[in-house]
Amino acid sequence: MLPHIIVAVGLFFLAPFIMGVRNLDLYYTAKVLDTYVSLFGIVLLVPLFLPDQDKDIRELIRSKRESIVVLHFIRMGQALLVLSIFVASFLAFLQKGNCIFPFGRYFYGTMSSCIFLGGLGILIYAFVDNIAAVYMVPLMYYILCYGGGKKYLGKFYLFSMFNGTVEDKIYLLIAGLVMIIAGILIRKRFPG
Amino acid sequence: MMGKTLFFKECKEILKSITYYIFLICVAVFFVSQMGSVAAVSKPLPGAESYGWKYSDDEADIMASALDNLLFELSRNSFGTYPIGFYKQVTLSEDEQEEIYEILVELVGKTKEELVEAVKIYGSSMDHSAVESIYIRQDLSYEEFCHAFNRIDKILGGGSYYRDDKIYNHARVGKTYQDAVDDYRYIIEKDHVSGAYARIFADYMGIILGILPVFIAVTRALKDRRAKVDQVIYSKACSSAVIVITRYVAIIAMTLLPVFILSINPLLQTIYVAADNGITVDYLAFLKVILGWLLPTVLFTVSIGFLLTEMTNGPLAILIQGLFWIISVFAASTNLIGYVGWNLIPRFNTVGSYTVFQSIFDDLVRNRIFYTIIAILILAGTIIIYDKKRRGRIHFDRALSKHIKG
Repeated sequence: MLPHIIVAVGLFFLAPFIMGVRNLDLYYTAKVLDTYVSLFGIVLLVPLFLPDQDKDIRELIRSKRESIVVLHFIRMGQALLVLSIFVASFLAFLQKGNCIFPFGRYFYGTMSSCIFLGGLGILIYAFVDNIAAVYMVPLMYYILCYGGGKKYLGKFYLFSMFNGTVEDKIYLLIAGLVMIIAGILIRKRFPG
Repeated sequence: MMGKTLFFKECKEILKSITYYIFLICVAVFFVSQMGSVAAVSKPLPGAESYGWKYSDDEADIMASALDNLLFELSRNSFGTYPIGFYKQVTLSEDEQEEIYEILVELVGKTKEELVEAVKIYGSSMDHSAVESIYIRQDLSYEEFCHAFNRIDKILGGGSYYRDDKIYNHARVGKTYQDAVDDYRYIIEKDHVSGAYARIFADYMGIILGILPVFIAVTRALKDRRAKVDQVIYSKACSSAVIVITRYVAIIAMTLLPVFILSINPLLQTIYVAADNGITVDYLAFLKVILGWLLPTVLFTVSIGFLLTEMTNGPLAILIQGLFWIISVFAASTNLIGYVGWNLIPRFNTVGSYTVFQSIFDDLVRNRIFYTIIAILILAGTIIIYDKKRRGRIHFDRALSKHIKG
C-alpha cells in the first residue's frame, strides 16, 4: 500500500498549488472536496487485490489456513482507515486556512464519494485481472460526472455536495460499501 | 513488410484486451451523453427578446466594467482568482490594499482618502451610487489602463481577470440582432455548418482522449511481462524501434478508429442541416479536427503511457497522466470557449463563434505542433529504454518496480 500512500501524499501537497485552499466558503470548499479529494478513493481503495494479482502468489495465499476473504477485508479496513485519515487531515488543513464548512457533514460526504469510486474499481477488479482497466472505470465515472452527467446519474451523481446538499451521498456510501463487499466475495469465487 | 505484419498482430492483441472494450464503451457513452444532436441552424428573426450575450470588445466598456468589479471586490476585500482553473479566493493585507488604492489614484483622478471612503460606504451599504462618481480618467489610454491592472493582478498573486489577456471577461453585453445575423452568416459561409460542429466534437472528444488512451498503452506495455513473454520477445530479431513504434502506431490507430466512426453521425446531421440552408458541407471537417486537433493529444497520452510503464513496469503512468489530465481540464474550466495556451486539452465548447476560433487558430497550431514534438521525443526515449532493457544494460524493474508494483 506504501506506493499508493505516497501518491496520495503527493496529491495532498499538490493541492495548494493547483487550487484555492484558503478563505473558501461552503460552496467552494465542497467543490474542492467533491472534485479533488474524492479521487483519493481511487488511489487508496482500488488497488485492493494488487498484492496478490500474480496468480502464483494468489495460489500460495489460498493454500494457507486463513481465508483470502479475511485477508482482503483486513486489507480493506486498513485502506479505509488510511483514507479517513487523509480526508480528515485535508479537512483540518482547509479549516486551518479559514475555510468555513461543517466538518462532520463534509467528512461524511467526501468519504462517501471516495468509497463509491473505490468500490466501483474493486468490483471491476473482482472480474478483471488488469489494473489499467480497473482504474479506468471509476475514472470514467468521475469524467462523466464532471461532464455534467447529473441528469443520467441522478442520486449517484458524485458532485452533489458542491450543488449544495449531502443528502444524496447516502446512496453513494451504500452503493460503495455494497460494491466493496461484493467485489471481495466475488474475487474469492472468480479470481480473475 | 515485417512492420506491417506486426502492426496487424498488435491490432489483434488490442482487440483481445478488455481495456479496449471498456475504452469503446467509455467513448460511446461520453459521446452520447455530451454531444447531443445537431440543432437546426436558422436565420435569426428581428425583434427577439434576447440573442444571448457576448464579450464586448469596446475598450471603454472593458475599462468601466473592470473598474466596477474591482471596486466591488475591494469593498469586500475578497478577490476571485483562478491560478490554474480552480477558484481561489484572495484576501489582501492592509498594505496590499493600500497598494491597490495607490494604483487606483493614478487611474481615476480622486484622492486616496476619497476612494477609501467611497469604497467603505459601498461595502457597508451595497449601494452602487456610492462609487458612481469614480470613473476612469478621460485621458488614460487603454494600454496604460492594462498596465495598471496587470500590477493589480500581481498584487492578487496572478490568475485574476484583471490581467490584460483576461480583462475582457468583465465586459459582458447582450448580442444585437446584427451580431446574431453575423454568427449565422459565419456558420453558413465560413464553417459550412460542419466546421462549427467539428470544433465542438473535438472539444468533447479531447477531454477523454487526454486520459483514456493511457490505459490502453499501459495495458499493452504490461502485457508481455504479465504473460511472461517479455524475455522471448527480447530475443527476437526485430529491432527495438520496430517493436515499440509498431505497438505505438497500432494503439493510435485503434484509438482513433472509434472516434472516426462516431464522427460520421454528426457529419450526416450537418449534411441535412446544411441542405436545409441551401449549402454543401465541408465533408472533411471532422477528419481535419481528428487528425489536426485530437491526434496530438492521443500521441502525447500514449507516449507518456509507454515511457513510464517501460520505466516502472507498473501503472504509475495512469496516475501521472491522470494528474496531468486534471490540471489540464481544470485550467480551462473558466474559459471553455477558445482556451488554448499550452494546455494538452484545448477547449472550444460552443457551436459557431467563428471569429473567436480565427483569433485562437495560430495558438492552436503552435500548441498542437508542440505536443506532437514532445510525444515523438518521449517515444524516442521509450525506444532507447526498451532497447537498453532488452540488452540487459538497465534494470528499471529491479529498482523502481520494487516500489511501484504493477
